Amino acid sequence: MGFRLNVTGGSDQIALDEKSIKNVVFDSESPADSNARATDFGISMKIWGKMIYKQGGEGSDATLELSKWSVVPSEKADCYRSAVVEVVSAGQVVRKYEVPNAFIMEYSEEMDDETGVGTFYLHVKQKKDENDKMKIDGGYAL
Amino acid sequence: MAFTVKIEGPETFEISKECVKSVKVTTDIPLDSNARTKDVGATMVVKGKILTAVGGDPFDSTRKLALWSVVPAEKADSYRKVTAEYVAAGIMERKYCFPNAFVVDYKEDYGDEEGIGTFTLVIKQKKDKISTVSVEGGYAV
Repeated sequence: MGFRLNVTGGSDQIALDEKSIKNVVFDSESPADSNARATDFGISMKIWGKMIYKQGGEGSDATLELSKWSVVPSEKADCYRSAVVEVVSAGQVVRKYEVPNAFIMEYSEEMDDETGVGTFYLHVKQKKDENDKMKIDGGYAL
Repeated sequence: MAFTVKIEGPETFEISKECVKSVKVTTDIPLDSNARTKDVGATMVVKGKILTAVGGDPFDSTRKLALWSVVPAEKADSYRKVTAEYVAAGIMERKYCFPNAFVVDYKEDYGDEEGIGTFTLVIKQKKDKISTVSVEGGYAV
């Protein structure tokens, strides 16, 4: 099972693929104490992966762009970007999540002197008032 | 021992026994009640697998769960009828029915090691319709 992430809407497109992404979680959450369907529900995507550095410094490392996105202040338009996550398995797209107005909730990077590769954790959420723009597709051949 | 979960709304779909791994049904009552409460809730937690279709088979219907989980509260189809059946050795052991269920939480989880995804669906019966929840069982299928 491989995962691909594509983020557009910033100065540079961010693309990560199955070489670096390890885990993906999609979550649609509303308050657990609701007595009826809540209007107040959030849609989030969490992604864990490896920070693959470019050999010989050619091109930019996509996680560097993620890191830069995570520090964009809220006054700037490009703090909201479009994120597309695809789950690919056996030549088929099992899921394609489109989060058109995603903002960063959490971003962290971790490195040490033993593993040889760093890991990142990205948590994005769809802007709540734009929840209806979220698209969930899948079940077709690649 | 197998579970099937059927969801009836604008379209009816079934989460097959290949997908459903566990079903948990709880009745929620405030722990500080001094007498039988009026404030009873019913929750169902369904966990299962997200399978990839191979060999031209149709895809599993878990994607429809994801779509249901993002239906806004203003729409009528945010409430659907959910039936969970638990069959063991030819006997319908339990059949739970939530006629006006809504999604509280829905999660899909994937890793690059497992080869399949997993989902967790948490639904509740609309609280004022609690009397319509039905539990049956103990008959041959």
